[in-house]
Amino acid sequence: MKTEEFSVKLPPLGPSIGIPAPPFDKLEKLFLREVLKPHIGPAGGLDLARSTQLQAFKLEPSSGGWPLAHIHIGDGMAVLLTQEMFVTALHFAAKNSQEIEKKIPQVPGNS
Amino acid sequence: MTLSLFDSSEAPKIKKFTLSVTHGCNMACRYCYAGKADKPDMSVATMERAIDFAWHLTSDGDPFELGFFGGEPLLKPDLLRHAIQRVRLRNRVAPRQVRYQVTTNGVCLDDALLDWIRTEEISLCISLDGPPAIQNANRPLRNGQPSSAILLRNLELALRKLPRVQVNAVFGPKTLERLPDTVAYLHGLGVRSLHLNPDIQAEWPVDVLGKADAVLGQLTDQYISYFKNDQPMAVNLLDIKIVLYMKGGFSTADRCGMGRTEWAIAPSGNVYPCERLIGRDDDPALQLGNVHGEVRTLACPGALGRAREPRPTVAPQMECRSCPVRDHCMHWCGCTNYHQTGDVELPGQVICALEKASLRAASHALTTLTNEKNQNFINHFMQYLQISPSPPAIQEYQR
Repeated sequence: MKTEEFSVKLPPLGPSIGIPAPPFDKLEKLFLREVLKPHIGPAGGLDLARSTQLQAFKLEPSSGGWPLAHIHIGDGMAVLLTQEMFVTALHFAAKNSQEIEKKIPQVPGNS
Repeated sequence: MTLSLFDSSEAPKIKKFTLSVTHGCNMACRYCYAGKADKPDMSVATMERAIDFAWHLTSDGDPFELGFFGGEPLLKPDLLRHAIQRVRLRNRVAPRQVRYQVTTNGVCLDDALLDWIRTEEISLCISLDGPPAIQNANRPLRNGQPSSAILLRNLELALRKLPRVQVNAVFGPKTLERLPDTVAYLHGLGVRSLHLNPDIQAEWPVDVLGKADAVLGQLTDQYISYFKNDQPMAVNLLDIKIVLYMKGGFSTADRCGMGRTEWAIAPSGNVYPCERLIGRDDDPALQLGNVHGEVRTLACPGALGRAREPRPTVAPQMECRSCPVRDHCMHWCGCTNYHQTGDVELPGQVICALEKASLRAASHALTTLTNEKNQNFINHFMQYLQISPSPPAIQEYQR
């Protein structure tokens, strides 16, 4: 099985992504749309059809001491989840949590 | 489905397999749901048969958690050692990825036991309810004497010897408002992984439940301060909800797998869908069989729960199906529901109130620490991404 590493420079991730947050186990879609696609053209060999076949996350320290997660998508494809990307996911989750919080019914006895 | 042991090819996968090795205990906790049972400990033959049953429920390479429970499991260390030997023996022929876990009241812990726990890489969870006044009131020794001093000594030893120690603290209607004290106390002792669990058999007055939001609000302020002060602490009520906000809610795989992916074996060999349903091991309606005979799986856990009469004093939550935060709520925890309402599919008001309060509290913690880009918080939650073992693709990649 051939494994390639796609090391990408992260684009600015802003309000254009919007809320609600993507489910965490679908995070790969966020990568494809906002990270990989702008940087890797069709000649890059990225098979978008396999995008939902997220196989694994694994953390390990990078050479610079900056934690990275290797994300494997489909057969032998790998991208890097940088801490910056994770923080973006946290921001999504935080915005989403505020939306959900508004929907929580009141508990009896809670004034 | 009925499993004729050791010859079925349609057995369900398991995630969690618990051996309750003894009914015996050296403590007399006020809220103990295990009950007092003057019954024999698990025999070696039953333990071996139980582990063989776990192999029957799994395939080569499958991971699962093997938990030791009781009573007090560390009263029977030789039996636990034998269980691990049995796992090794089975692994030589048909390997599984077994993670060990033991939940203990902590009284028996000493250097030798802790060295063994470290060597075998057993995940240790010590039950300790908080400051001495709370611990001694709720969790006295069997002879009525206070347990706090013993637990303090043994917890300190465990924290010194093991890379990670989890603490389980139970709170009830009378101690809910003391939760911030409990968290501060345990954090001060060096605990960095804390499970806070409600007494699911207590009667919870509505006015007490109404205080859950305020209490968890205080607790969240502590949680945030720990991250800011470089001493982060995992607290289940908050960590689970924060991960859920990232995931977008519970997935099907997260939900209670009682009698399908979770099994518990009583000392007698009787099989239960959850260790918290073993109790005195005297309710045939909750038993799925015996490891020395046949075992049935639960296609519909609801049928199990309705074997018991509803508890009239614990109001159930009837409006769950229309609740807008249903996907972020643990309304599906069968044993908790059973103990509260008598029906595994019908949650009680305690869980409802605590889940809502936890969601609010976790949202506040997540928003605050994310907006501040708190490095401890980022590191803390990134570690939850880890999945092991590595698939072949990752191993190749790492070379």
